[in-house]
Amino acid sequence: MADTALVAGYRNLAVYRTTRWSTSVELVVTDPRAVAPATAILRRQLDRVEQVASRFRPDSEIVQLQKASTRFPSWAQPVSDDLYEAVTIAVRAAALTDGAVDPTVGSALCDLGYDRDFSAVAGGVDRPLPAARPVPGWQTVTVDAERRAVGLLPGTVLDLGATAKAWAADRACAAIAGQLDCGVLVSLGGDLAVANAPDGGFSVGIADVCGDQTTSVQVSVASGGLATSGTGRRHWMLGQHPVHHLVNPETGQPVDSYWRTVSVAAGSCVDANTASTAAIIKGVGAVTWLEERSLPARLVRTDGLCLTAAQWPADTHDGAALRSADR
Amino acid sequence: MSSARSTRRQTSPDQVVRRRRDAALDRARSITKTVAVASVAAVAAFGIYLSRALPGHAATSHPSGSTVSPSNGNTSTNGDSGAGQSPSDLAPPSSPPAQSQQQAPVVSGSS
Repeated sequence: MADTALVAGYRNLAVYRTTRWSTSVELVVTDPRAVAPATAILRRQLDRVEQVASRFRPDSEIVQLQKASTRFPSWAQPVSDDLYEAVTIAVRAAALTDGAVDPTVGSALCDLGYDRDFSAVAGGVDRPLPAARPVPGWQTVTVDAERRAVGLLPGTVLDLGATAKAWAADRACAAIAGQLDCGVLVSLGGDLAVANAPDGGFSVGIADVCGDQTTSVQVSVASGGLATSGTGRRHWMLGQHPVHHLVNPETGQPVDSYWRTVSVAAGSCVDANTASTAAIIKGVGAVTWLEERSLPARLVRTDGLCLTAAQWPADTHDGAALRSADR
Repeated sequence: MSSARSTRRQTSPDQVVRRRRDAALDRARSITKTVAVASVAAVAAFGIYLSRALPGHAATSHPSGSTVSPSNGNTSTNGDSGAGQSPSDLAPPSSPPAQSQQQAPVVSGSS
């Protein structure tokens, strides 16, 4: 189901909307004539990322890598440039977040029932809550730059969810901007990348759940990326236990979240999503962590109190956010 | 008839023993050769295995990712400040988000 429309209130802004990976896909371009070719580029990029990095497709390259790693333990497997890049970005995200965003949480997610597309999990999974145990750890993923090879411990399941979607947004945005010479915003489930923005940037709503048009919080984004992480959507019942998709690598279980939602702006969508996911995992220490990195962020506590960090603008409605300095 | 008799005459017990010894030596040489070739092949195969496996092991011993050559996450050339950032940092935006009163075509939220 897809549709294209001009954006009301703008002279030349067109938006294309569809769904993919159980989430919304939105493409905004500053030239309505560019919608069709931009859509084709976007589709190709998403196809490629899915072919490489989907843990739900038995024929994806990452699933084949995991199988080969079980057959030939300790043998780093040569992979395509795209998978190499996807894994390298995931390992980098883990390193830069002190392991908070760990790509080896895949088996923990499978144990929680999230072993297929989310649309098949959302209705609940009838199995017991697994015992707490740490995930294998991102340090066990070996990346050989010379051979463009990746090695995994046998049984490791990679989940690139925290980086691959954002990476896809960055890739598609760069490809469209490069080929069509227009302003572009690509949003995959609210994780968005921007290039060649019009004067004043692209206006973006900020909400607990992606696509909530009732939000009154809006910011303009002129470059880079913006991402929002939270537990507001990807949650389900595991037996009698409510669980969600943000796993604490130390326990292999859903993080007991201090924040309901964290939005972060960064130089790229990958970095924004890495930081917003890490903030959820890090809990109360996230504000300081974000400010130390000069990453503008808006954090909403589970009780609804909103804080901002590193030059994120105050909310425009009455319930303005508290700046971190005011806490 | 006389020829067969003469052949039988020439095959003395010593010759039989010598022939058996030679045959045994031939078999031993053949076995030794096979074992040697197999050993060389096994060592070569193990060497190839190690040459492929060891770089990966080397990477694990550096959890900081020093043997990894990570792209910086800004693989896109989307004209932001991230392109100039060190790969070892999460890149802040070139300009922070600003307040906006315009209608937002997209909404960012958890998904």
